[in-house]
Amino acid sequence: MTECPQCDTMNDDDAKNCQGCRVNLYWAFQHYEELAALRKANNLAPKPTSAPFLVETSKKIDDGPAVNWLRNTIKKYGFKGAGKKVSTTAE
Amino acid sequence: MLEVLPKIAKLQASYALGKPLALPMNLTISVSYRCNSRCKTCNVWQRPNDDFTIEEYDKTFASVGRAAYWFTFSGGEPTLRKDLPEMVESAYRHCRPGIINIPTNGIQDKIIPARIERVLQAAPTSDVIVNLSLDGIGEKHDSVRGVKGNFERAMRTYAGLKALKGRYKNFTLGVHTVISNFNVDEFENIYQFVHNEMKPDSFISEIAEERVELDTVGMGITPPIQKYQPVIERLQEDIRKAEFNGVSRITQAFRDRYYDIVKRTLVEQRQIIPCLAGVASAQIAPNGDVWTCCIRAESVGNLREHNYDFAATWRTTKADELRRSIKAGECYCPLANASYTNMLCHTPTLASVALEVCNVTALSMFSSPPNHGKSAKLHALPVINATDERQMAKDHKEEVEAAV
Repeated sequence: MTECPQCDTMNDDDAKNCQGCRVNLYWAFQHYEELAALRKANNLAPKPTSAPFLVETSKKIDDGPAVNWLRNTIKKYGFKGAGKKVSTTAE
Repeated sequence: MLEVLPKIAKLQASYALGKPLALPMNLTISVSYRCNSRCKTCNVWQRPNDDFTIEEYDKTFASVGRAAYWFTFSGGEPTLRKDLPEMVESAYRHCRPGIINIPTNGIQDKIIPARIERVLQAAPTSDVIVNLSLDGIGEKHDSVRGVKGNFERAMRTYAGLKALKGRYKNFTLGVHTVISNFNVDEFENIYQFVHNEMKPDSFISEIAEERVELDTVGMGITPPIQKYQPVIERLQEDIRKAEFNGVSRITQAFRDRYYDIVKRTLVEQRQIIPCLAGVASAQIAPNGDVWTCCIRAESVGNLREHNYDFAATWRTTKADELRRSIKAGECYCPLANASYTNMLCHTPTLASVALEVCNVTALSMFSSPPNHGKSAKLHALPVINATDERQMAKDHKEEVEAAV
């Protein structure tokens, strides 16, 4: 199981989006910490409140055609090291 | 531009009836999810690739015909597709769009200018607007975009594109900044750099938002109104102060109103003016799925399953359901692309822009404008387009000749 860095929900290891807050888990492991600090500096809650219609629509991604491909990618690269392996991230 | 007026009436009627009496006048073609950026504000590159071929686009554009006036070729990074010029050529041959808009990250500095030159040749009577993304200066840009050396490459691409301007009258070169929590505090630096160093034809900004297409839901990248408002009002102030002619004045009046809509959407969290996504605007995903917009990214049907007939895909039951939902205000967003079409179809906005443009034009006709000189005018960003620059050069020449 993988814990969402944003909302602490426990997710299956091959989940693309957090089942609690819908955040893209790959992104969250890369950038959540930085963004949470920026949000705190701006007097915002670390966890955003997303519009309900977006959350509902986003859930449909879990049943869409991209799911298998993405699950395989996540299995291959894992979450935490994924940025270093598949992206050209500067930091 | 006047040719859009009859389309607007049909689109307004379509919205009122909840049934499409015409095809959308604003089409966004997402040509691929492939992207060589790794932006902190976007996860679109994680989507799988099942891109349309040029033959599939040709059949689709043939079915759209002259309905669409404004095309955006987006992505992913659209210039990664080698056949982008052929796509534009196909759209031009079948649809004759008035405006073609292409965003780019500018990373492939050795390839992009030549590819865009072929785009310009492929659509000689369309206004081709290429917007270079700029989300910071130097390493800050690289950090937000996730690619080391991106800024330097983007500047080389910009120089290459700028060199095309003298040869192609249909070319507008712009700079585009996404304002997010990652860079809202840096915006003044970006603004100064664009203003003093780059001097593009146009400088536009869009607020980072949560979109299903980009898989950014739940990310919290949108800056708070307290941070965003001063930034955007600085841009608005410059728009109001600057002197524009003809079409540029109209464009700027719409832009000013768009920024008002963004501010109000952030605060009020509702549709500020009726949204005609699904009626006046649409998006085609790389695999042929047709969406009302990229915010919800819900397919109304796939072109491959409808023999590449856009009208058939556009008239499905699912499309009607989404149109009903949007009209009922079940969603809201500050998406720029849809907002401009919404404003065009919103009679009070259209009337207020017309009134403002008439007033300013009349005032400038009956009063002696202060002589700021060409240089001062060129620095009056956010927007001076190629037409203005040519006109100013012509005016300057006439002044010199008169003085001699």
